[in-house]
Amino acid sequence: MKNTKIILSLLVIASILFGAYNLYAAEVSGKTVNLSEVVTGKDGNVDQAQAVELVKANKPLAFLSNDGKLYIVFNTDGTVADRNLARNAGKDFKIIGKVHNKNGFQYIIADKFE
Amino acid sequence: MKQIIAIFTLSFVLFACGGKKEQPKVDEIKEEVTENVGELVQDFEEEVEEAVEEVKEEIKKVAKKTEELASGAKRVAQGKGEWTGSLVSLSEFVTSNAKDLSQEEAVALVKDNKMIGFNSNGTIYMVFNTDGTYANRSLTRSLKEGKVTVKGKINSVGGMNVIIADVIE
Repeated sequence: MKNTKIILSLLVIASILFGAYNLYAAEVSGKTVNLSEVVTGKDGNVDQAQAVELVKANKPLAFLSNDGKLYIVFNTDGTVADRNLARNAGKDFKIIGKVHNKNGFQYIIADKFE
Repeated sequence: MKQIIAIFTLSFVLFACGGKKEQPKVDEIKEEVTENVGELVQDFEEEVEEAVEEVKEEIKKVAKKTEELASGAKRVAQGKGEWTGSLVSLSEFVTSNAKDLSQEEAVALVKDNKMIGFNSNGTIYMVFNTDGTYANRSLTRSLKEGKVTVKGKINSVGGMNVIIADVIE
């Protein structure tokens, strides 16, 4: 009987954690852009080669979602995910991760790039 | 003959008593199991309902916070001005609560090509020079006693708070 209660409690905890994860987890579609160009009013479109050059020159890349929102993308360890953005530049792709707006700063902690 | 009848009678009595003893046990167990399962199911349903309510509350809170942040972003959108604030490591900011940087820390981050954010009155801005380059170095150079002043134009680009800096001091 005790085991059943423990199992049921674990199920409840798991469903709460799953619910909490789903609150923040999201799938965002969009493209890689040159952040410096976007902030100065240009469209910021880059192909893969240009994006790689920008990363080499330490110029920031960003992710522009299909609904027009601009995000800085980080890996789960907190490093900027510029290399992954460059790898997927020049096409529409999806980022699966957690979308945040903390103190007015809009960013994605990316779990996966597709 | 009497002995045989006595043995049969005794056996019957023993058998009958044994049967009566077994029956209540099974019934009791059945009853107990039914009762306990019922209680468990009820407990589980209540816990799930509570969990669902908690998740609903959390969703409401997040939605409210998002609205507040969005309205905050609108309030700061557009316009020239002067803002004083501190510098934070964006990598630290997104993984925990970043502390204000000293000049030495900021210089080390810039050398490592890490991104730095400008925190003015609790709002984080990304600061760019007028040519669109990221103003990491200028911010770090001008940081005095943990504070830096940026003069320029605030803009909201795709929901991101950005300052195009004319002067950083």
